[in-house]
Amino acid sequence: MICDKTKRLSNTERAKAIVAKLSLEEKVFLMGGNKSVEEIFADIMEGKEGAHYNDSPYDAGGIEEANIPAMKFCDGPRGVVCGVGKATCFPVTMARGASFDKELEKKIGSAIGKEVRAFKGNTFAGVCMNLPYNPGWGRSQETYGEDSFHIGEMARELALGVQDENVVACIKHYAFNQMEFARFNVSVTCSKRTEREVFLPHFKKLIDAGAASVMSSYNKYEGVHCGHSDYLLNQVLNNEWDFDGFVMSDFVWGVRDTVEAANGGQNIEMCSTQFFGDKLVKAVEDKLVPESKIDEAALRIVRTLITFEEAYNSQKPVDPSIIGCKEHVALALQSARESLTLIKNEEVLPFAKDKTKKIVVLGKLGNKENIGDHGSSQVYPSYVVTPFKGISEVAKNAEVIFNDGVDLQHAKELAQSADAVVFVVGYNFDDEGEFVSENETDGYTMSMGGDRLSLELHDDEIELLNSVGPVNKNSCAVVIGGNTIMTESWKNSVSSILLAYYPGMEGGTAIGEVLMGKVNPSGKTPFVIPMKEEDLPQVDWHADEQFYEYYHGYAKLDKEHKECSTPYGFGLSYTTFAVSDAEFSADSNNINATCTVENTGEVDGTEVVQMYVGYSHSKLDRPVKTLKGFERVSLLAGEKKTVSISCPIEEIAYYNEELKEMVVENMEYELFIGSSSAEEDLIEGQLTIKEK
Amino acid sequence: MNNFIFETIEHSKKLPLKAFTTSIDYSTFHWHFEYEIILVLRGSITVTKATRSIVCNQGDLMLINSKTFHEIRNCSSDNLCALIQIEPSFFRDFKDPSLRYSFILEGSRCEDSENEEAYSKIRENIASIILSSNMKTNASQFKILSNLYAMISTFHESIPHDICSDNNSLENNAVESRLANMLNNLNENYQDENVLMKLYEKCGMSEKTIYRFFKENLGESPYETLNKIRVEKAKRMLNTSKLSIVVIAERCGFGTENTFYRNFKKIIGVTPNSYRNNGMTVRHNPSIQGYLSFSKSNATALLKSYIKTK
Repeated sequence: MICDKTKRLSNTERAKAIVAKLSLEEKVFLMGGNKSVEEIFADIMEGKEGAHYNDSPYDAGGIEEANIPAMKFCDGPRGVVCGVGKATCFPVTMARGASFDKELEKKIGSAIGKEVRAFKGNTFAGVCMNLPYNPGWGRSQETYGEDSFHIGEMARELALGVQDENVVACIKHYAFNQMEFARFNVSVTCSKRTEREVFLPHFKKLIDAGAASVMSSYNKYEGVHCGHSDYLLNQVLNNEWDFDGFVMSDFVWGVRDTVEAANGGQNIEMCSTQFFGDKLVKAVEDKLVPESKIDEAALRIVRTLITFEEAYNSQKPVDPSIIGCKEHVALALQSARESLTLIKNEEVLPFAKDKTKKIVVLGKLGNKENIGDHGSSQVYPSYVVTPFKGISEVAKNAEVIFNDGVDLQHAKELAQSADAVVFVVGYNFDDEGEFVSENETDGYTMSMGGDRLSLELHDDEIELLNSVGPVNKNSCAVVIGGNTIMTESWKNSVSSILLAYYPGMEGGTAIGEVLMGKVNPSGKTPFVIPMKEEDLPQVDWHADEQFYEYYHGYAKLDKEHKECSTPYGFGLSYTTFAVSDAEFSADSNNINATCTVENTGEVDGTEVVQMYVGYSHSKLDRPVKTLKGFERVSLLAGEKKTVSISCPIEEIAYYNEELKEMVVENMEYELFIGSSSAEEDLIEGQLTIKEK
Repeated sequence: MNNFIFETIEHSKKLPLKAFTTSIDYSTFHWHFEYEIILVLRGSITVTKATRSIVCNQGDLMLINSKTFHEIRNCSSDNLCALIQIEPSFFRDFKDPSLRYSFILEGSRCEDSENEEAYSKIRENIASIILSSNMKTNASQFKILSNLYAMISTFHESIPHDICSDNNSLENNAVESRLANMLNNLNENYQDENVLMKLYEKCGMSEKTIYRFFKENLGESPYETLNKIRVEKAKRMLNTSKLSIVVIAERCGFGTENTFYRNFKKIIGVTPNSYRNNGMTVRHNPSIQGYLSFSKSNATALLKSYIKTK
């Protein structure tokens, strides 16, 4: 990474000199978006054909005469939101989370970074890393999963990949943004330990890794809008974590008060200047905001942007033909292949190539171009391969028939006549996604979405699965959706289940390849699927105030000894793997685990080896275990490899409320290594840690 | 392949369809590439597709998708149907022509559906097409086309459907052509008492395999199919010749007079003799099998009743 923190800080004096020459008005100009709310709505509502939110980058600031570049904002995360029929649409972040592939995530980051530059942007605000407290959060498709460690590891690679291309990576939404309906008003509260151990560590990890920008969230934390939060922005982000880059607000409603926001540590009001601009100049003149606050914001903005722009300008510019190029689409396909997660397979998958002459694809989503929500993350690729189309393309020797499955009798007849039946069930942008209520605006992103009030499939889909599923044993349910979907009410009616998330423009191809055995599935659930929804923390999705408990997801089920339907980190393969010879050790900095993984089956495959740390000896209330490392290992049939995983000791620290810092307990820890978070998939060992 | 099995449908010049009204007596299993839509104007017919029989009454619509084996028989001798046979290219996906649509529009199912509005639009389109095809003006040709497009658009909007990839059309055609060959064989050799045994030998398949093959694709046994063909031939002879029942029984391959009587009664409902005595005299249209003559003015009146606006 050329534009890392060291490089940026080396420009401090130059940036200070530039800022020193600016008038107050000019400095404040840098702190606001240049596009009016009306212009943006006009783009969306009555603009030219195909125009949409963030059709081209949204600028903030920029003073040419002073050689200060504008911040040119491009949204994500499933690709670059700009343009129509051009950008590469990757699988949604949740799908990429399921691949547990850090290396690939970095490549995706780099591809996205190049496309941002090709669209003439310089900032990618698509490193979404909120932790869904409850999987019903409508935008959870934009994050990597339910585990803080995993989110941080994956998001870091994306951010580094983006910044490798001299594009500012903006991480979002800082913080506690995991409720959609209530996002503009809800005030989240939680204990300090919950804050520091569950909801903030992944953000800190990205700051430590050098992410250059942060987007504050809409919601409040402890009664204060996060975009105004002195605690979150000034104290934690800037002072404790020593952040050197700039903060921007979430769009239109992210800043609600000039003085509070500026003093709270907000640097750029996006995407329009409403509360900053003249009002902020006035507030400084009235001594309500110290000018030093403005100087600091300007310094952060200028230092970051000149570093990135100079680095970019010193190289050959990215050619616009890179947008949606073959290599990027191939990455999108690879990502889809790696993310598909097989959670049930009663010896039906892959479908036998020579015996499968007729495949019936059932369900309303079977032939839909379903790449995720229609909010700010919507990407407009040149094409999308639907599951039906993908299966038809891959199963070249079979007749493939699609029917929406509404007429159950007809669906049964089709299923009876087929050699294999594929149900495509789940959600689309209407069911979950970014949400703007009608009374907030006339339009904005025009998205439906919102949170899911139930984690079940639609009633008609459950009926389809339960009445048509048993007709043909050669069946698979392909499940589309951004987070946990309940399976207990129908899982016995089908012989196999493949989670597809929203698999991107080439998703249908990958689905076809996995079903027909051209690709061996290797994804792992980035969330737990409980037996009952009540086993997860409950959220009032329309609340004004919401308390977050310390436990959620698999940590909560583990702690309460509740059996789950599908464990966290779980996914089947067409081959089998054996994990053995586990060894655990620690040096002064790291916890290390090694094991041997052997492909004991007939076909090549990839296993995701996971390391968990257990805290049963703690005197405090701590989880049974949490994920602290993972590696993807590809093995030819019969091949054996040694896998080493390590993590910094600080990863196992807890927040000591008296000392107000993260502390590693001196005690014996359990260490686990294996193929999922389930007890039976893990080898256990012990390790004693004595800090310093 | 003779036109018994594979009905050749000749399109009128420049029009991608053929439209006409007819009374249907009986047409044994056959298939064609064209999509065939039937509107029952009067009486009722039974359509057997694959393995299911569906009775269509007055006002019912029945779509026979491309390459579907089907059999049509009359339920009431005075039935009158409007038929339109449409080029298959009209049922391709607009963006991706490798995908073909099969719409599910099946007679009695129409009644209990919420789709009545769509059905009445389709009926009106069919009526307009047929009424226009009696005229040869430029206006009528465009009217036919506009109604055809409108009808297909209604299909896409309101009629449940399957979308099929053409991947294994080779594979599929193998089944279809094998079935067509077998039906041809029966049709040509029905006089031979041992035609079935010879068919098994010729195909190199066991009786059981061919039985299963027929059951899967036509919903009936080879013996049942053969009997239908024989009875159909016998009907023609009864109607058009003065041959004795014994001779007809033999010429149709029934072997004994008893077998002929039993099978004829079972399929037609009356004995050969009473059929001969009371039966209609049929003027056969040589190019279209089993379609009977009818009164044109009557048909026009019925068709006009489906045209709402004027």
